[in-house]
Amino acid sequence: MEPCILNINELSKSYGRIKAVDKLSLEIHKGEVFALLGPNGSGKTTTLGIVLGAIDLDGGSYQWFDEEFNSTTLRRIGSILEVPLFYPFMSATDNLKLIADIKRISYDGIDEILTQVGLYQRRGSAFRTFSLGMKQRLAVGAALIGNPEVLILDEPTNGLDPQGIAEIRTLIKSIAEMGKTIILASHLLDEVQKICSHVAVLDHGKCLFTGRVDNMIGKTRMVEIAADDMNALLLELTAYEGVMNPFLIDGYIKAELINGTTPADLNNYLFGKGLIINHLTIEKISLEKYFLNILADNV
Amino acid sequence: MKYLLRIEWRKHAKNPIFWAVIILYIISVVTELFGAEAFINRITSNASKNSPIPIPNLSIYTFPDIWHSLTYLAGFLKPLLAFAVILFVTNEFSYKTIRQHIINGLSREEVFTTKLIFIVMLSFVSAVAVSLSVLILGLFHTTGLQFGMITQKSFFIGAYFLEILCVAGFAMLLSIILKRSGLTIVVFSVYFFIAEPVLGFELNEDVARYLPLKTFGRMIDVPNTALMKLFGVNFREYIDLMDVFLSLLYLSIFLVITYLIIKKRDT
Repeated sequence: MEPCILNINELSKSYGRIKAVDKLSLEIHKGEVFALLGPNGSGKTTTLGIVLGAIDLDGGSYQWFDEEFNSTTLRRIGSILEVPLFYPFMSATDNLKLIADIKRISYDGIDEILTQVGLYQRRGSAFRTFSLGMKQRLAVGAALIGNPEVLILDEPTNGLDPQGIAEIRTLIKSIAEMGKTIILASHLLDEVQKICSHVAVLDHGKCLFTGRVDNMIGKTRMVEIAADDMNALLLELTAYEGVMNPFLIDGYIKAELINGTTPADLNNYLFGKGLIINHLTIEKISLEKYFLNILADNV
Repeated sequence: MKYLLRIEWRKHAKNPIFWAVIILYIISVVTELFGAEAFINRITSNASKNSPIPIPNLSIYTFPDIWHSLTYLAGFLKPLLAFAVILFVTNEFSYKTIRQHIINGLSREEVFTTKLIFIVMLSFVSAVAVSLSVLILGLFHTTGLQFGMITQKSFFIGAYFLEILCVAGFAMLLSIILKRSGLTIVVFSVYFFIAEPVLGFELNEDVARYLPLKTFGRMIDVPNTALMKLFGVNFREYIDLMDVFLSLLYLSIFLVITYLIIKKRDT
């Protein structure tokens, strides 16, 4: 296992009666492109705000790089939260120089970063003259200053047009290929599926699922099954540990096959219970369906 | 420290509005100080016409009393300086750059220190503008000048610096609490121009004299012009150390509360 970059343990934060983050535990390892996936208001930004020291926590703990949090910790992390935050009257270069000052590093890499995010030509223009896409790219550039080990990007494609989205995604992928750990908050499944290696699904501040993205897409299978006595079938499937969440739809019962269970196991089990099945198909479900299923179960 | 100074400097040096505000402020101070004598003389000569005894036209620009009269006059422009503080401190909240600074690795102590540096620098600039005005006007208007006369009452500039620093500290505290420039300017103005004067009028004098703005303003008492002397009023020509102590106490309280809010509040 790669070394642990961020370890979150039972983190909690409430705003009045609303639990923004509810006993959240996560582990993120070196080299992962880790997505915090969830609808708006699921606690993604609050979680990132807490681990970056911008928001005070109510309970739990977190640890970066297996060390005590201190003033130098944040200089090893490049981050943007929600929207790009810069001084509107300052040029791209000056805004990045200010961040370099805060991180106590030289300005040497700034031109290179501006080139990388495609803003070198506009480096002297005031930030307020930038389009939203350019602002987002400058924000990613700002996160790259000081060659940090970890990048935190919160909704980096929010509000962008398709071309802008494609540019940012290509940029993130190229950064990931450099071997950096990336933590990305997003409410777009498609985005997570395309860029990320690992995912934690959040809803109402709780972690509903965490694991590898490809495992989730590849190995999660739905079975569609039918027998003469559908009621008995539903009952037996509900009792069976090899599947999850069976439900009746369009004259079939659908259920998730739990990893390790094969169709043969299922058939065998039902046969043992005296049920003869007359239909059995397996479908791989997309992350989107999976995500919606997870959320639907928790309503 | 030098590092924090550079961060704060970069933010303001590149801001055209910052320069506009600073230059306007300096122009206001210089205009007020250079125009004051003509204004006072006109009042004096008007009064002189109706007076049975002639009132001498005594210059307010002669060393060493010029230190007293000009620091007193410049004190009237405190609200302008306070507005500048409010404008640039609340900017950090409206641009949300304070949050970005913290997640970039600036500690909350350092955020506080950069804001403290900012108000000290502004107050310092103001004190320098006043000092230069004093030197220029004093050198041209004092007859029989000796070096000792120039420095004799220069301690007034120290009191002036402390006075405006205290007001700037108060403006910074309000800015940190309220976060919005418009709202903060309104609240500051209501307190400065209405609430404290009314309180000062309503309250018993023994209590009213400890109100913050009254305390800061009392450090430099009204200068004694020829006109004042005629009326037989004689104001204090020294600085009461008790006032200095109380002002420093107020300033410390403002700074401690500002620090605690920056330290504790989610950004």
